[in-house]
Amino acid sequence: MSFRRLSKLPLDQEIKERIARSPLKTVKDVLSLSPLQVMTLLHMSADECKAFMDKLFDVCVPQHVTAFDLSEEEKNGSYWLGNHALDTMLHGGLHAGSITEFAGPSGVGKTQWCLYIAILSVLAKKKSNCNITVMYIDTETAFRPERIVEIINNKYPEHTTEIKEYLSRIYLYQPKTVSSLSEILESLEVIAVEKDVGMLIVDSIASLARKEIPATSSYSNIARTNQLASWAAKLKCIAQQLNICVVVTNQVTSRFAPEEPFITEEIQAVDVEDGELHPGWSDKTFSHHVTPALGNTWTHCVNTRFILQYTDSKSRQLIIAKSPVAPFATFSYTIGEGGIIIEEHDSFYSYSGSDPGLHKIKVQQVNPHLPCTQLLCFHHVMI
Amino acid sequence: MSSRRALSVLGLPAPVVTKLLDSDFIYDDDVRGLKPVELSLASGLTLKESAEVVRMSTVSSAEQPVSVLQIIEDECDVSHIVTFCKSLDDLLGGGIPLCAITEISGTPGIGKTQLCLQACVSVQLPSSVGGVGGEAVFIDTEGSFTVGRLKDMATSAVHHVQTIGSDCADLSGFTVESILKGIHYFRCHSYIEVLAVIRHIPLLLQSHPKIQLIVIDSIAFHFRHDFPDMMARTGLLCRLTQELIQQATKFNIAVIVTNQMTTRIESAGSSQLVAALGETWGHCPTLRLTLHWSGRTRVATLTKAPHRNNSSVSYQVTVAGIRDLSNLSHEKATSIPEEIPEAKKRKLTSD
Repeated sequence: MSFRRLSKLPLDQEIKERIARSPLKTVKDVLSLSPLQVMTLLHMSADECKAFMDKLFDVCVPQHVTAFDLSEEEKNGSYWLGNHALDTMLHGGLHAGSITEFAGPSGVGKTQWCLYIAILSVLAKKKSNCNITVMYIDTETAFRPERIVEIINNKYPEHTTEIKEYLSRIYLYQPKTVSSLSEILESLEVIAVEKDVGMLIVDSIASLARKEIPATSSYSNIARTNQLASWAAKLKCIAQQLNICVVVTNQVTSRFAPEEPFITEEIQAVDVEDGELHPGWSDKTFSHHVTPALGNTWTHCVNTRFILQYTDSKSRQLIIAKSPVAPFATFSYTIGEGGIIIEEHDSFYSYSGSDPGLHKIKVQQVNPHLPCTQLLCFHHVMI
Repeated sequence: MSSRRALSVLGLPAPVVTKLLDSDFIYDDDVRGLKPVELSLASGLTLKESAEVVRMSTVSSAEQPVSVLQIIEDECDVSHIVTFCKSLDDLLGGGIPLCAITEISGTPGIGKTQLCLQACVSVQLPSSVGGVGGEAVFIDTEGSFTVGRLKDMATSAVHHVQTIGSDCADLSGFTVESILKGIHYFRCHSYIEVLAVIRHIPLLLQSHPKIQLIVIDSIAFHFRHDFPDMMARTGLLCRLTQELIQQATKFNIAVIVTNQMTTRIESAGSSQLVAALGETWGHCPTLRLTLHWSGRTRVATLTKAPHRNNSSVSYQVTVAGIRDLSNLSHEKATSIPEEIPEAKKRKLTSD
């Protein structure tokens, strides 16, 4: 509402003339200024200015609903992930109107999760009986249509006959630059309405930002953070207004920092020298570990963060690191021909937790016999 | 504008009125605008008498001072919103205070939104169990507001109330549905919309006079990326605070504002996480609470309070909401049963 042109609002003709002579064009231009500045630009008295600004503020007030009204909407707008415990914990799976992020090292399965979620959304039977489409924005050219076909053939063999219909409902974008991604997001609202989009997947949001805006100086760091934050705001706005679920993927970054002295004997670290397990508080050793990329501000922007990491060469782990509804929890999964398979056993949850921006992630071990510094999953060591 | 009144009808003592009439002061607007000293010289009244005349004749819109004794006697029984975590309530002096702005800042995922949701439920506790009995306004800029989570907290609160106050009359109206209906939600996609909602609150209060909590989650999101001009941002934030504090004191409302953290580079080259939005913003809220991790537990630290010491307490976020850290020092990791188990809800201390 704040982008509305002043000339289109029902205002006095005289005020409109004064506005036409000033540099103010939209509601936002006026309301970003202080009352004194508006008075000076439009030659108004204090009372006139107050009445004028109040009128403009009234135009901008968003819709008023109660939490009770929202509860019905929420049930219709969630996408089940296919595992009962996980979906119960998330109060229904992935929710429309918020950003869910999958962060993890390379090869752990982020793109596989995205493909899996795309298929689940397209196959979901919605109560309103209208079929939704999926927008897939692929910045790393990792999308493989044949993988989609493979997953459907293996996991949902009863749907193979309608596979063409499902494939026609997944739309792919492959932007190569930050500016083309920004353009896509600008045009997204129109397309989302035309094509009934219900799920938007961005794989990955980190790669373009990190390639084009390297965080070499503090200036470029701020530029990147601002770009990410404005993308996040745009995505959330579209997500909420058009009832879309947004899934993004993130990469990892190395953090080379002294071991925090408050780590107690609960969490054990592998000492670099002799490869044996030691009680972990060592404020002298330096640990080289990976954490989710893109920084602290981006961690604030996402609503839900799932961290994916390796447990051993075959199985991987999904950790709910940040969620407004779920406690800190871990789930094991593997990747098969039929997509993601979440194991029923081996899941844990706890009311303690850790900072989702600093969570130490285990990377893939190429040679299991080489000693490397890493932290074990917390659940192995809790009493 | 008041109509012209004769000085003789204002209720002044007769000798004073006579002296005034003798000096040609007949109506109240003859006297208006004069200082007591001037009136005293002109009419021959004593200073005290002149002051009384001037006061009686002006339509006084300026604020009158109130004695501290009066304030203490007038203070309503409940002036805090409990958080259901006893140590946090003790830290804050009873809970989130009314007529003040409380800022909650913290790293992502620490529980700021959870604390806000808990306050939205606690504000509705009926007065017979020591609550405020009011409604809440939730201004959401982040999109983390989930009704499912709110329902968990509401269910636990209703259960708690029924356990401790089973024989009071007005408790039957306190249900999960009534709690959900008492939370007014606004989703804002720009800082202009946040300002617009705040300006709209007095109008909202006319149709919903029970509102006693305003939550803005978070104030930082839209103010951090859209502003090339820092000074304009600070100006807007200060004006916003002024509006909020006026409404808070006039209508007996508590305001909770959540903030994000940003990295500040110290001169030595090391960096530190501090609350975002700058130093000037830091002066705006009345109370500042910072939430952070200490190992695996969550800690709340009071960093600015006019009447409490700066100190820290630990708390945890459970399925029931914000609660004290239990005596078992660390929660055991357990395998997930069919549903989140009932037994995880803490036994609450009855207030």
